[in-house]
Amino acid sequence: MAVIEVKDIRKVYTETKVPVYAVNGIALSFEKGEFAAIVGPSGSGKTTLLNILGGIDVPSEGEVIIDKKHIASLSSRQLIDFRLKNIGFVFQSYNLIPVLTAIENVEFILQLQGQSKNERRKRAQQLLNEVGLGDRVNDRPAQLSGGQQQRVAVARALASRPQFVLADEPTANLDSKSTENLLNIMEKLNREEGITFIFSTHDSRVVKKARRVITIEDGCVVSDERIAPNNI
Amino acid sequence: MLLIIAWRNIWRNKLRSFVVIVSVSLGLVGGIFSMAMMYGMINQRVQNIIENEISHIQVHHPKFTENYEMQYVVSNASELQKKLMTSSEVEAVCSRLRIPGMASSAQSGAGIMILGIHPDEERGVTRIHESLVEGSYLEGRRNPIIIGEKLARKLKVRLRSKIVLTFQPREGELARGAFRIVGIYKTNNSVFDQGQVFVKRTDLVRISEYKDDHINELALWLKEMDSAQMLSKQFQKKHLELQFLTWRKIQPDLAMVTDFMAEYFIIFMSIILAALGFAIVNTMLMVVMERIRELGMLLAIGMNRGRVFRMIILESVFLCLVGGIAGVGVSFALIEYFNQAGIDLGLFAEGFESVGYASQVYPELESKFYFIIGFMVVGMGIGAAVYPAWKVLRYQPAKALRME
Repeated sequence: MAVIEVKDIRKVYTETKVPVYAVNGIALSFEKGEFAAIVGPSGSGKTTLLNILGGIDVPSEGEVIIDKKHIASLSSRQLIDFRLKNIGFVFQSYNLIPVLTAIENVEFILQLQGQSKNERRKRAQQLLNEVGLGDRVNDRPAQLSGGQQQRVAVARALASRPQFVLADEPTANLDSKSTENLLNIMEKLNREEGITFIFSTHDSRVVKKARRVITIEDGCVVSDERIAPNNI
Repeated sequence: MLLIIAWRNIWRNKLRSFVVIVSVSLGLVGGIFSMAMMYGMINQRVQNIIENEISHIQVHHPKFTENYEMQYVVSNASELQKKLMTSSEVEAVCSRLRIPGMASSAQSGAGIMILGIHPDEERGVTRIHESLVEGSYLEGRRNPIIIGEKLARKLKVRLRSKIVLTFQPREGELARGAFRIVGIYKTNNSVFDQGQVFVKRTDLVRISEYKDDHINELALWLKEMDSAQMLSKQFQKKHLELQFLTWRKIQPDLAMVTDFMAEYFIIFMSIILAALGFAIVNTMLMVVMERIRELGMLLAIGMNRGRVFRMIILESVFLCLVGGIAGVGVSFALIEYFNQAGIDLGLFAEGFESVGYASQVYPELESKFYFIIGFMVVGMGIGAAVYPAWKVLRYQPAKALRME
């Protein structure tokens, strides 16, 4: 059963003299437990598609249905709440809160959900242990390497036990060792906890791990390959 | 955690925050200290006028203050004086014979107000005996007089010189008497010093052929200045044939200035804070625009707009509060120090004294003003962040995340 479904979505930017179609008639669906990569050259519309899938951008046309909910029918407040409870985000440039420590960054999401301090601390510590940063919980982002920051970002994305995680070029700023490490963590979480991961990437290392590869060019899907049977 | 984030955020760019904090502090120090100077000057003026000139309450015949005509006396003044003294709220009462007249020396003359007093009674009500710069307080057996330093200069007379006072008695021709200067006083009000002379009431009665109980003014010194209004009303009810005037009614201009100090303070500080507020708006705009991706990320991961708005407001409030606390602290220390040491504005003494202000200023500020400024600073912090917060919250998270 599809947890995310997009029907003929278009996203047009009209801020320039000539309208730019970042996404131009894409229809896709993702099922629970997928480990999918959206690939394509720069400017092909990967990030825009991911933003629309995550409800942080609104399509100019078309429908986005997440967990049977039409995103367009949600108010701004409901949408924020929906994202908080159902979607985890990992960004290319980590986007951690620089003034908070690693554990506070992870706890922050849980606080937004209204969890108690003890619960928050326990869950954040557990997640940071899982991503291998149990000994760096009190470090601020500036004290961590790029790979470590991205692992904190993954822990943060998973903190609220989301149905799926959207990761926008998560390995773009990482060296090979950090990339390998991060991908292993995400693959493990996908396999063991059934969390759906959707990446936008043009990193071949990520593509190799993906079990579904969607290629887009000029805002359109040009191929949608399932590399291995979805057995989760 | 919102408080923690906001607090830590203000220290992300220490130099910028430091500049804002110093600006707020200096603005507040300038504003608060100026107000304290003004407040101190006005309070000193009020105190000087009350202590040297008008006391807390004056009692007259209702028509006396219209033209100072001698027929309008306080009837049964001695009895009334004794009666007023029995009130537990009254510290002292003195009786006076107030007559407009003319003082003449061999060289010059001047219009004056002659105050015929009982020296010992007057000590309990006014501080003229403490303002003597030369001579003594109405000592001497025959017609001693105390005059102000400025009048002495105008009449070109000195201690022990003789001057002639001319005034209109109750009936008949003008009365004249020669008085010997036994004391020269100086207050902070050169207009007062030039216009008031003090003589013994008994001498004035003798020269003018008034009756001994001819009294046209009683002056009351109260234990608590604030009870003047209430006591005046009480006395007035009992003595409808007389007029009881508090210092506020005698000097309504001063009373008004005192009453409106809080309003002046708020208006004055509002102008300063508004100017500072615009600088903080600019700073907060820079703060939010350079962190727009981060704010977009917060919106994307599920922080609602209200929380982001509160976070920005809190940052601005913290920034202003740190500056505010520093500014108020420094102002308080300066005011306390100069309240003891005083500020000598001797260079402008003549100008100040010509309008009744002391040239040695002791700044002071009531504690309520520090609370008012606290609220105003918080208000400025909130006000200064509204526009930047509103501006940044108009962005969709995706657009904010795309911005460089």
